Amino acid sequence: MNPRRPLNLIRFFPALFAILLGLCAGREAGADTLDATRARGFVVCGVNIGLAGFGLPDDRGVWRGFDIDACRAVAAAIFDDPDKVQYIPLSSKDRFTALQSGEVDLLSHNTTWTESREVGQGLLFTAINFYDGQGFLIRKSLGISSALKLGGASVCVQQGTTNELNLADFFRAHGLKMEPVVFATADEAIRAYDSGRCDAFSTDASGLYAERLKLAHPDENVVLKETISKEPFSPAVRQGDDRWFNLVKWTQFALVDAEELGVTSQNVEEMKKSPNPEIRRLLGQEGDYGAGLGLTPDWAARIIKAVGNYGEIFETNLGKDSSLKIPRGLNASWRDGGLLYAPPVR
Amino acid sequence: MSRAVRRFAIQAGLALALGLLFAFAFINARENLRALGIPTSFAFLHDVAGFSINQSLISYSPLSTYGRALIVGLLNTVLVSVLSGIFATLIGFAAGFARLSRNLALSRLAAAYVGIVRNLPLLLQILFCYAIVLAPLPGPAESYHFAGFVLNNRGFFTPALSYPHFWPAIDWPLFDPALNRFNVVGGWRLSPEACALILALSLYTGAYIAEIVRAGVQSVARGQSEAAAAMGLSAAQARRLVIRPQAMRVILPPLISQYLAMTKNSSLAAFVGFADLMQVSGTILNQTGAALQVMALVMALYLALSLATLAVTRLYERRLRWGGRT
Repeated sequence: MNPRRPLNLIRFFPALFAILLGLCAGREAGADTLDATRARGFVVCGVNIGLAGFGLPDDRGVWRGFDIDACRAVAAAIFDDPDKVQYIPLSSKDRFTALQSGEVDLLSHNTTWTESREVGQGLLFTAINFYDGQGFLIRKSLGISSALKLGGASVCVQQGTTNELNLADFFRAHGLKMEPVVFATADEAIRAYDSGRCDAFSTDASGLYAERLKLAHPDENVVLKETISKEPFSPAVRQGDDRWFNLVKWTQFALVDAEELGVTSQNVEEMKKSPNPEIRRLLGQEGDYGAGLGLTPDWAARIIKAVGNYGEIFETNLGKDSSLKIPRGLNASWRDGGLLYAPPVR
Repeated sequence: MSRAVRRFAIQAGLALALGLLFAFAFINARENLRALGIPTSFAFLHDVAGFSINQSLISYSPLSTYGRALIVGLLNTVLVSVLSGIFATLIGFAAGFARLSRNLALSRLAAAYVGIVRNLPLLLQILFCYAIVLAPLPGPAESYHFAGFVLNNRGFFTPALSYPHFWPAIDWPLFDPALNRFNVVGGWRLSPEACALILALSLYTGAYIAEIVRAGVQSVARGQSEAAAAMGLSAAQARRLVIRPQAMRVILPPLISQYLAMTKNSSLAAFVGFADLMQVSGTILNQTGAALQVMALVMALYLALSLATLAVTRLYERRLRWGGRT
């Protein structure tokens, strides 16, 4: 061998590649998501690739929606700036893998909380922030008023969702036949329905209202009243980081508590002077409820100031101030006959 | 220490380090999955799948296992690949010869086809094919009927054999609102999704095959056909006995890679709602959370498919090698 010949790097490429592979496969044990987020300077949030009302970039490319505001609330709590978020659009199919692998800090992706997802996929759902149920969109011309009359029908549905399974369950439970046509994204599924390929389109009721807007003639289609499943939506985080889990969970609770106590993005500064001890504790005027979360005492006040309380977020994105006009229904406060109920900040 | 020993020691050291790294990566991944509570075995394959699949070559219901669902997906991939392979070969050879034709219109047309199709993304073409397959087709109530075949926007239905009373009987596809007000009952069906996928894959792969065929024929030196003519062979004899055997030897290896690429390209099926291996495995992955196992299994199955394709085409390639250089 000529001693002056330079080291042939190409020979070492396989070894270098293997080292890189080994490093990538390594996940730091007990990684602290909050510290990592602080060091990075922004929250990485996994969101829907586009669902009106929940997460969709507007005409200027700014992400807006109910799930987006959940991410913004977390960013406001940590950085006092709701815009310190990077949104990673994920398909329903890829979302859990992205969270498991650490690609995102939290998943805010109109995701149904189920046992197997939590126990079997290494996730923790934080708190239900939207109560939904699966429904059907059909053409009015079918003249059907119940999903039970859909025996033998073709149904367009999106892959990687609980919807796919609920659909099979529902028809099986009633001894009916059904042809599922399963698409990678909701966009393709609704387009196929619109072209007449399917008799019905099925997804969560909130999504039906949003997807109906994409049809050529929305008015000729109707959402069936009945729902065939329970779809409680919740953000999700990885297992094994209790502080981060608590932070995301209590961010949601603070939004609900604020609505119950009448604290809004408009009046949060005045409310700090309120004599009501519950409000004073929530807004950090009495006691320190932020330290355990790794936050400052006024964490909840910052969240509400930046994104508003739960009611404000709901009405702007999904309710009467949006194009979807979804009624509060189950998502009203427990005081108004809904299911929203958050533990107190105390 | 002699040079041979030293070189061997270096090689062995590198191999050992590589092996250790892979072992570390494997153990590390498994430990992390365990810590997260993600399944690390293949036991889920025996669980009930729970979801339906709309096109299947074997009997399948939501009560079947995940393993069976995977086989349904695999067979659907094979179905689409084989049919696309046949059509792509026909289209490709026709277009390839058309490009060599002295008829200017024909050769320009073939060149335009190859140019357009090869330069557009396949996914776009698949979505386009799905739209043009669906758009003109009527609903089930207004189906086209032809000698027992039925065509509508739910698929292409052919009569099928069934064995209701042991003896074979023909199961005619039929639309009868009393039986099912939404869909055709009976017969065997090729879904519009499968049709669109086969159409797109055939056109796309056909364009590549056309170029391979053209290059193959042109690779045979002009002197060969001149020599054949000098020996008194007719033009047809020269093509069959002199040009084709030599051209096929050049055509075959890149043709095989096209078949392999096509099989892998069929994994875009999920975008048009066709239940191929990739689509079914995606659903399984999502429901079981066993990402690594499902992906490893799917990779192994695609590899097996490719190796099987290679084995079959190699047989043909060996037959071509009689005499001459290889």
